[in-house]
Amino acid sequence: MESNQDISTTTTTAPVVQVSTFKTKASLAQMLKGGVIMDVVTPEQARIAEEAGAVAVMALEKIPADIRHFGGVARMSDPHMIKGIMEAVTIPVMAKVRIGHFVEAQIIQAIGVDYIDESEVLTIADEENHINKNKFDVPFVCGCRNLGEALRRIAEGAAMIRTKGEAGTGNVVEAVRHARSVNREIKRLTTMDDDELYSYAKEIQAPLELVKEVKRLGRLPVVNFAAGGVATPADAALMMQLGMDGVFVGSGIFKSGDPIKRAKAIVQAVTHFNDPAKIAELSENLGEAMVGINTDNIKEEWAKKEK
Amino acid sequence: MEPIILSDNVIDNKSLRIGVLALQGGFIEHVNMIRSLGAQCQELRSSAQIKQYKPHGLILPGGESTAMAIIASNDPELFPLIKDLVHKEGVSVYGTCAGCIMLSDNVEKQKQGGQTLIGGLDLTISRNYFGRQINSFETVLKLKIGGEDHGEVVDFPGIFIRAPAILSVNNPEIKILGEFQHVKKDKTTETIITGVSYKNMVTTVFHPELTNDNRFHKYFIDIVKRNVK
Repeated sequence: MESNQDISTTTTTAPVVQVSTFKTKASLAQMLKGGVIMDVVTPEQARIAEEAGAVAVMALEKIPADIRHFGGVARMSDPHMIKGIMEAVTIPVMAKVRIGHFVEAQIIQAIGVDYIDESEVLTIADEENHINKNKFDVPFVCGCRNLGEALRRIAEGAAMIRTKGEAGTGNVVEAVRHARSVNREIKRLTTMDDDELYSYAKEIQAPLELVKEVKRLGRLPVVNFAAGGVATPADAALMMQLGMDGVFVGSGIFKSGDPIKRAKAIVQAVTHFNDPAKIAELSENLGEAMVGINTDNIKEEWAKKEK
Repeated sequence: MEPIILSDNVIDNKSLRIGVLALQGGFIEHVNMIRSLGAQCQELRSSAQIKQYKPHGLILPGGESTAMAIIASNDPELFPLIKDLVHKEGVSVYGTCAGCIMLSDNVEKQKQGGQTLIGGLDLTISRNYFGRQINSFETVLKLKIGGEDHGEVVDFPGIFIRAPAILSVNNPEIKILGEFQHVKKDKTTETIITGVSYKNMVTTVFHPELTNDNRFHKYFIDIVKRNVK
């Protein structure tokens, strides 16, 4: 056994250090895989989420179900409230900004949040342009309904993708639709001749280079989470079996009868998504799930707000 | 544990079983690295799966150490089993980032109420030492993992994601694999330990599994082979 003294690995000059590269941004999402990211509106809820085993929390003033209920313009949350949540937990903290509202993103970056969600759940600020996320040091996650949308967001700099689903409904149908669309389109792409990629890139309105990369990898080049309507351990496991890398749960936890128990059960279900006996056990006596809204009856379909 | 020594006394990678604890985090990246070296590798999510698979080596991946410990607590046999395998049965273990925290005896900046650990390495480690995500970084490290006897220093890509830092090694028998000159906000420099090796235990605070370079995993497989009983 060597002693510590004779090692010669120390260099005298400090090495080159690069921060906020695409690699460091996409890597954090890779470390969140197999985990649950929970919407929280107070530091107390953030602590509950951390104790339940959440890998990150999304700090926001109103959960999506309440945004639907109260209506009006939904904006970025109060920075003071977000900072309170950042102080309460050791896990990463995410926050939402309006689509295209790059100043809200600058503010959220300035307070040191770990990930920004440019989210259709909030009111749109720019109907034509998303934020140029390549210009930011903080990584972004964005929603998508299909492969073209996912690749447009990645081209703009998103380092993580999620399904849009239909947040605040407690109905998983849209999340399933979006996950299946992305999967189907990737499968189709991998069977295409290279000569077909030019026209396919044009058809789905995605950059050719990213289309080529997806064909080579057989998957998206960044982590892809499920979001928008997950309310039960079974919903979470369904999304994992559909090939998602992890799950966002918004209204599903703190709008339910027993948030602590449900949060823990959803976390366990994401780890053991292939074990039906285990999920059966986790689904017992969870109290009431959020009431939920049939997506045919909602006034506004958030997923269709943007391209 | 059944012997896997071949007739010519050389252990073949193909006969090695490496398990990756897959409760949460970057486990598939480790699986791909180990398979690229020709060894068998499987994701393991419970004490029952570990008992059935009988791994020669175990990887504790990066992710959120708090989440992993809470998920593990639902399977009360899991951490005691890993402790037994590592500390009594000689199963080799490699902990990356969160996995490194789990193998350390002294952890600073834990969540409120503390967190469950496996322990075994007398290190002092501090969680999220470099700051928040915005302070995550890439650099090139010097690591003493090269050559037949692992005495050669090689350049290796260092990816640090909300990384912990090993602040001190409190047992002189623990081998330091590399150090990093960290320039602090006040422009002063401090030396951070990036990885260690001790008997059948290996840890890094950075993520070799996020690179295209499998030399660190080859080093771990060498450690596994050396410790197979």
